[in-house]
Amino acid sequence: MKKRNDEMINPRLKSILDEIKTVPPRDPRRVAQGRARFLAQAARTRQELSRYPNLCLEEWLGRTWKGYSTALITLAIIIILGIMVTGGGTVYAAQDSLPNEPLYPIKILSEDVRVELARSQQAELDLLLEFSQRRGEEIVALVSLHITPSENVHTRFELQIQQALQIAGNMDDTGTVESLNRIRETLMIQLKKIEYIRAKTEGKTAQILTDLHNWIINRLLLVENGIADPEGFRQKFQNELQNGNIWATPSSNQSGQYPGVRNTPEPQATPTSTEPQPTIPGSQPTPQGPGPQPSPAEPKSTPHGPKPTPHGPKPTPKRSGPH
Amino acid sequence: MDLKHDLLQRTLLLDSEALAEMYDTYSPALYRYAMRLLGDPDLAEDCVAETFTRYLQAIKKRQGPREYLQAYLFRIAHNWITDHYRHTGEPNLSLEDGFPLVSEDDPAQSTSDRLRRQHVRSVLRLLTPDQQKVIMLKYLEGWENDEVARALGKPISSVKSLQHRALVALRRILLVDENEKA
Repeated sequence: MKKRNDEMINPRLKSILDEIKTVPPRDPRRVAQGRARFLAQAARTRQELSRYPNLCLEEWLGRTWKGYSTALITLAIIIILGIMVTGGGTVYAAQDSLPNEPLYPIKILSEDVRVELARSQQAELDLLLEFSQRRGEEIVALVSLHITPSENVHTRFELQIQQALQIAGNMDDTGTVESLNRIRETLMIQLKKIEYIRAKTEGKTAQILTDLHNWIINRLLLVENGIADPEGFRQKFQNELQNGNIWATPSSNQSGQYPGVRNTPEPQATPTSTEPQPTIPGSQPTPQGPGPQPSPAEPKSTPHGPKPTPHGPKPTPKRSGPH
Repeated sequence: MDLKHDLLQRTLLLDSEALAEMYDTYSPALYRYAMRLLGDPDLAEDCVAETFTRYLQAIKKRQGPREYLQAYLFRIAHNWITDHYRHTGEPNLSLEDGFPLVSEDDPAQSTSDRLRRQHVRSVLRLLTPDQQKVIMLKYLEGWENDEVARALGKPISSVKSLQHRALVALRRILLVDENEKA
């Protein structure tokens, strides 16, 4: 339906313009060639983007243990010994439990303890990504048992990814990019899993998986942008935390308070746009072509938003964890 | 999340099915658009191919669109056409412009049709690139103002203003030409 403010075009002018309206049919052979060429280009691009440097074991070990004090190592040994003597068997047995099983709360508690005891941000990130992978595996296992995953399971997955993102944002640019690449890999794996099982479900389960799928895609976009522009990522992420717009489902926590994360409000020096301006590659010579504008829906940075600092705030797992 | 937005997001992740779907969905319209402005099937195919190549390059640089895939693709295509004319100048009049012959048995009529189409394209190129986009997208593609605004990255009020100036310019050139010939 035409809008009322539309300017009417002179009928004669319209008929003149219509002379170029009819276009001859496209050669199907050339369509097929163009399509195949484009998909081959896409495959090459995908390959190029998937090559990430692997961390070597020595570097990983060095980073994991670097900075631990003797007292903390001693404390960790005492805790481990204590668990082995008192209830280690139970904790161990709980590690394979599913959300609908009695030992699952112990599994979650043990995860929370391990994250809490992590000495470095890198170790904490490693654990969060490992545990978020577990949530994905639990969802797959539940669905294959024809059980609809409870909201708590995917909320915990989302929370762990959010915490990993927060940690990534607290690092310097190099660390942020490296961490975001790791988060990206984790998300991609989860996305594939969700896509795989979603195709086999329907009803409420399918809806939950779709919400989660969309949420993962949303996070992947944030991560992709963050890899290109770490500072923009930090600002956007903090804005999201303030706005509370971080959950997959409307029924999830949307209060604007990010559970377990203690943000320290701090005025920002420059209220700049949080997004790198997208441009159309190769179109610079065109004076009018600055590339598509950012979406009006993109949250703008606020002049008084909290600013991530290199050493805090430290995200902590949601204590009232889903069981 | 609507289907188009979902498609956009999947293409940004280089999902092969989504990219194939994007090509199948948008390449016919992009070809028509290019063909109307270029009047040459080979060039129109080049424009379509280059549009999708640039889209992949944008993804690679993590600069792809956040929203409005169609608007983004048409903007790339139009920029390519503008650059093409900037580098090559006015096209030579060829005997075959790829458009269907209205009267195959009447070469004079066919030549006349072809000249008129060439004239319309020449006159369109007298407009500013943004004015061209407004006229092409609104009156030949049938887009609404908000869709045109997204393709231009401008507010709707600017689109209306561009549209008004473009129509005035076209009336002045095309209709005056006709009156003079008459």
